[in-house]
Amino acid sequence: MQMFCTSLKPKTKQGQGADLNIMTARKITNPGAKSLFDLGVRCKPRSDTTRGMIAAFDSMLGGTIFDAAQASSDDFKTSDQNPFGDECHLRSSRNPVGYSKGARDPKYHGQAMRSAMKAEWIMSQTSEMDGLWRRGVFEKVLRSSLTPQDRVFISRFHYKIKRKGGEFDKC
Amino acid sequence: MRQKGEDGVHDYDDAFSPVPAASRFRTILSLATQQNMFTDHVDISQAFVQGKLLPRDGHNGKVYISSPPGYDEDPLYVYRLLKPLYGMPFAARAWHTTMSAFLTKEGRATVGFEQSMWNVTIDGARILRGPTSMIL
Repeated sequence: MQMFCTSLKPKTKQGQGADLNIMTARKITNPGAKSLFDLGVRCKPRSDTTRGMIAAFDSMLGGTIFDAAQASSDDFKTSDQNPFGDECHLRSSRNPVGYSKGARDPKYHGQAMRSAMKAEWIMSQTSEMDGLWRRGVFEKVLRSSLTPQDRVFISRFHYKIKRKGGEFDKC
Repeated sequence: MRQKGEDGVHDYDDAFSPVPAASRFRTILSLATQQNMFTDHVDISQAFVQGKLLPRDGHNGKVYISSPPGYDEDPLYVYRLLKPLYGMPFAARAWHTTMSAFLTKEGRATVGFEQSMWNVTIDGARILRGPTSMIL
């Protein structure tokens, strides 16, 4: 069974099937309110929320409840090593050389090498290949050892700038 | 990386991988709300390359690729794939088969006729999972 859109006319009233979202609800219940704060929504300190979630989850699993007040200082020590390995660099805190907000993704290798972000692309290529080698995705084979029936596919990098909230994240 | 494959010349026989419909996802959220469960989402990074290449994948069970432009490699060498790579038509199916085999071996069962949703109970906590991500 599939659901189809029966009409493309804009639906403005609730009886006509208009979406009842949080903004609609706000307008109906409290027309004077301009934000969630005006509706009485208060944000709890994050640590309280997290602690509550951990306690509830632990009790559900039947384990012990983590109490931050009784924890020793060693429990909060973090390792100097990068837990995600060398592959993961925390590069989101800076914009790479040559990056601009309107920068477009290169379509192929030549375009990437001519772009202002050339150095960043080369670094990304190297880290991508290193990651694949580390995971044992492929092995080297002599081209001369292939039979005439074997097919060799071409491969290429797919260049993509990943953004978070409009800001550069990684590429 | 991307790779070109051709249908009809036995580069791959099957590329189907079940994906839960949006309604199934909404059902999970409804069930979680009804039973007062926590919902969380875990994304498995680089999921496809953690799958196993199936015996019939590729040409004669082997897939060879040349090194991508921009990566220095001796032209005398090519790469033989040992795991599925992004862009291959059967990568999603290989991952699904790998994960399904593991969960079946662990004694888990799918949810009804939905082949990509699994009902797992660990220490009393029920976990419903999808193809490349998990909803707890």
